[in-house]
Amino acid sequence: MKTRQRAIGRELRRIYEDVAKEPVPDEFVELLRQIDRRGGKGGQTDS
Amino acid sequence: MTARQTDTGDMPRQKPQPNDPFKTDLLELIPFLRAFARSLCGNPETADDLAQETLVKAWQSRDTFETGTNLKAWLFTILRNQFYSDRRRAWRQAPWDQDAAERIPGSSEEQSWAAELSDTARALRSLSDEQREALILVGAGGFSYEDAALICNCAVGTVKSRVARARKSLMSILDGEDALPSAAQSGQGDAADEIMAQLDRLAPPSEHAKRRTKDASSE
Repeated sequence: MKTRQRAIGRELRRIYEDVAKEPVPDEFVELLRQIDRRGGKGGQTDS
Repeated sequence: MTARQTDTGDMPRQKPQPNDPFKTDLLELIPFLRAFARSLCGNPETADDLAQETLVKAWQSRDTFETGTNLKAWLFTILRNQFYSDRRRAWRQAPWDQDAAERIPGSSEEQSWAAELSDTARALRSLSDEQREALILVGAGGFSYEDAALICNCAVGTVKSRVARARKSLMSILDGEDALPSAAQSGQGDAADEIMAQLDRLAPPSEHAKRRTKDASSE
């Protein structure tokens, strides 16, 4: 039982870390740059 | 607010200057936001949209963040709230459509990412939202039960029982007793087989279990 839990735990971490290890897409960096320059409090984001 | 308003793409593309510690921290945490979003949404594109919405929300409400507290947990709380509020809005706008989208991988694009998932990842998709998020936060994200309870806005004991039930459900799904959703060929190693093989090596069946197996061999 413990062994199975450990194996599943490893797999869960792998699934999560696989995404976390991906390079951050450019849109994210671009987005931060934009909201920073707008001062952050603008109503720009209510689409 | 400065007088310059011409921020419509006339700047050369470059990484932002990490002069603001809050922004630097946000940048560092983006990978984890994406990972948590992916676990909630499943679909990578929807997940990235959600993670981006989270960044905007976080930036707008940065004044409410108490310096020295757990920024990651704070961001995850925003992301999770955003996920459920987006989904409620989608239900109100098109309940039938959203319902179908939740259950069936509709487009061929969605089918293609679903096919890439490992057995465990697919099994994870068939858990309830509550169990999945609790298991991911504690079992993969490394959060304490206490932080997970804050993020999920529930009692610590509730998180513990959700995690326990999620583990149990995952094991029973991986045993193959419950059908996996869209069990496409992944070409990957079979996690359930590996786990069962480990079990067999560790625990040879007792005489009693052997008899029961023989009796039940027609199943």
